Amino acid sequence: MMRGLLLLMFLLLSGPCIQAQSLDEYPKTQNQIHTVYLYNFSRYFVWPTAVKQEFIIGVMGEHSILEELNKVADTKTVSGNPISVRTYQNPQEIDANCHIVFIPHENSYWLSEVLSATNDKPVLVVSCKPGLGQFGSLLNFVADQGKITFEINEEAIQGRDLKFAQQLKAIGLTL
Amino acid sequence: MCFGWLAFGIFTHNSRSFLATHVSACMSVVNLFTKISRGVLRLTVLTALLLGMLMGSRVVGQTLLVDQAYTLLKQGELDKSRQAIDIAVEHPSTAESAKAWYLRSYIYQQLAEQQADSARSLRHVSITSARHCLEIDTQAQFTQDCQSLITHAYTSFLNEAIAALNNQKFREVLPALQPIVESNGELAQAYRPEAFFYYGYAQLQLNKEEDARQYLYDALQAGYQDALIYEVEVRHRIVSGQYDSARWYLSQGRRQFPKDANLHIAELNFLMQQESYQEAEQSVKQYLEYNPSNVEGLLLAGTIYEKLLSTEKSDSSYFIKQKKVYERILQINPNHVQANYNLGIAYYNRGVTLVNGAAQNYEIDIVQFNQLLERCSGLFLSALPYLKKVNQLDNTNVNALKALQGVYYNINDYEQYNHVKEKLQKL
Repeated sequence: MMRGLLLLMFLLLSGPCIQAQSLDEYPKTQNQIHTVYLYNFSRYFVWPTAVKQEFIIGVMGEHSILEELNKVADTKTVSGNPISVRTYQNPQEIDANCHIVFIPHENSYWLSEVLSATNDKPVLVVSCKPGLGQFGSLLNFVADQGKITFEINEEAIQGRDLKFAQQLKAIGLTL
Repeated sequence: MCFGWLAFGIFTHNSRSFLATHVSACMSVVNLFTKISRGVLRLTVLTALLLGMLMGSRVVGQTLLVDQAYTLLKQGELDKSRQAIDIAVEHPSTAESAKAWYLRSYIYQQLAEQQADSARSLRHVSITSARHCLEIDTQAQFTQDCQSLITHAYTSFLNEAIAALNNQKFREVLPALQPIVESNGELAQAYRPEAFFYYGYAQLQLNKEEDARQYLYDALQAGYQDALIYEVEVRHRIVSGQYDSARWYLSQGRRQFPKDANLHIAELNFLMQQESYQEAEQSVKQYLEYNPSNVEGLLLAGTIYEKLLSTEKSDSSYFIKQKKVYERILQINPNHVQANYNLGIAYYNRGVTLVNGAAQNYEIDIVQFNQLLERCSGLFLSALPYLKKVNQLDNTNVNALKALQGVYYNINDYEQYNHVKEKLQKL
C-alpha cells in the first residue's frame, strides 16, 4: 500500500524545519556581547578621579545597543553609583564627566570628531570597525577568526590618563 | 411482455440461424418468410409471426428457451445464451423458475469473465439473478450454486478493486466496491470489512479524507485491522481536538502494530502536538532503532531535540543529539536542503543561546566570557558551510540567506554581511 501521502500530511502537521532563534534580530547577539564588555570595562578600567554620583556610558547616535545598555543600567551599579546611558547626536553633546563613549559600527564616521572633542578628558572611546584601533580609538571591537574581541591602543589609553587591569591584555589584541 | 418479445425479434434479426436451430416450429416460417419477403417490413412481420406462434404454445416455448440457453452455454455461445435466458425470465411461464434465474446468473457471470469492459454491470445482473433464484427456490435446489455465484461475483469485484489499487487507479476502486459496500446481504458480510478498507483507502488517495475516515472506521468496526485506520483516526481526532481518544487510538494501534513506521510517526506527531517532548524523545529513539536511516524520522528527531533544547537550554546533550541526526541525514544525502539548513541553524542557535545565557550575568568573569565567545564563534563558523550549501542548492532560500547574514554579522565579517544583505534586498 502506498502511504506516502499520509506520512507527508503528518510531517506537515508538525514541520521538520527548525527555526533560527533570531533571524531578524541578529544584531541583538552582538549588542549583548558588546554590552557585557562595556559593563566589564567599567570594572577593569580605573579613571583618574573616583566616580561621583553616576557612571555615564554614552552612545553616538541612535542604536539598538541602547536597549541592552539600559537593561544593565536598570540592574547594575559601578562602585555603588548608578549607570546612566545617554545618546549623543554629535560629539559636542558628550558630557564632560562621561566615562565611556561607544561608537557603533554604523556610526564609525564620528570617530575623529569624538576623539577631538574628548581629547583632554579621561573618556574611554570604544569603536567597532576594523582599523579604527590604529586610527586612535582606545578600544576597538574586531573579530579574530570569527570571535569578537577588542584591540587595545595602549598609547592612546595612557594619553587619557586611564589605567586598566592586565587581564584585558590577556584576552584583547594589543596594538 | 410484448416489449420483451419485440426486443428479442430485433436482436435475432441478424441471427436467424439461432431461432432456426432451436425453435423448430418457428424455423420453417422464418425461412419461408425470408424467401418470399425482402421488404422493409420484414422484421416486423417476422416478429409478429414468431409472437403469434409462441403465444400459442407459451409454456413449451419458454421452457425450450431455458433449455436452449443451457445448450448454447455448453456450446460456448454466450451471447445467444443470454438472449434466450433473458426472454425466458421475462415470460410468465418461466419468470418464477429458479432454474431460469440460476442459469441467468451463471450465464452473466460467464459473460463478465469474457467482457472486461462491461464486467461490472454483467456481474451485477449475475448477483441480482442469483438473489432472485434464492428467493423463489422453495426446493432449495440451487441454493448452494447461487451462493457460490454471488460470492464469486463479490470476489471478482474485490479483485477488480485490488487490481485498480495496485495500478493506482483510485477512481476505479470505488464503483468496483460499491456492490459490496452498499449490500446488506448476508453473503456480502464476509467481504465488507476488506471492501470498506479499500474503499476508504481509495478515497483517502483521492483527498476525500472525511469520507475515507468514515469507511476506514466502518472497516475497523467490521473487524478489519490495519495500521492506516488508526493513523487516519488519530489524525482526525487531533484535528478535531479529541486528544484523549486520539491517545486511545494510538495506544490501541501501536499495540497491534508496534513496528508500523507510519503509525509510529503519527504517535510522534501527536506527542509533539501535545508538547510531550520527553515522551516524544523516548518514542523517536525507538523509531530510529527500527528505522535508523529514515530521513523523515531523523528530521523529526532533530525537531524534538530542538524543542527539548529550547526548554532545557543548559542541557547541551540535546544539541549533540540534534547534531548527530542531521549529520546522519547528510551522510545519506549530502545535498539534503532541510538537513543542511537545520544543522546550520542548530549551530547558529546554540551560539546565540550561549551568548543570551552569558548576557543574563553581566558580572561574568571577563576571561570566562572570552572563552565562551570562542565557543560561540566556533559554533557560528560551524554553521557557515551548511548555510552556504543551502544557498548553493537553492539561492532563493530567504531563511538561509537571513541566517547567513546573522552569522556574518556576529563574526564581524561585514564584507560578507553586506554581500548577503544585497542578495536579500534583490529577492
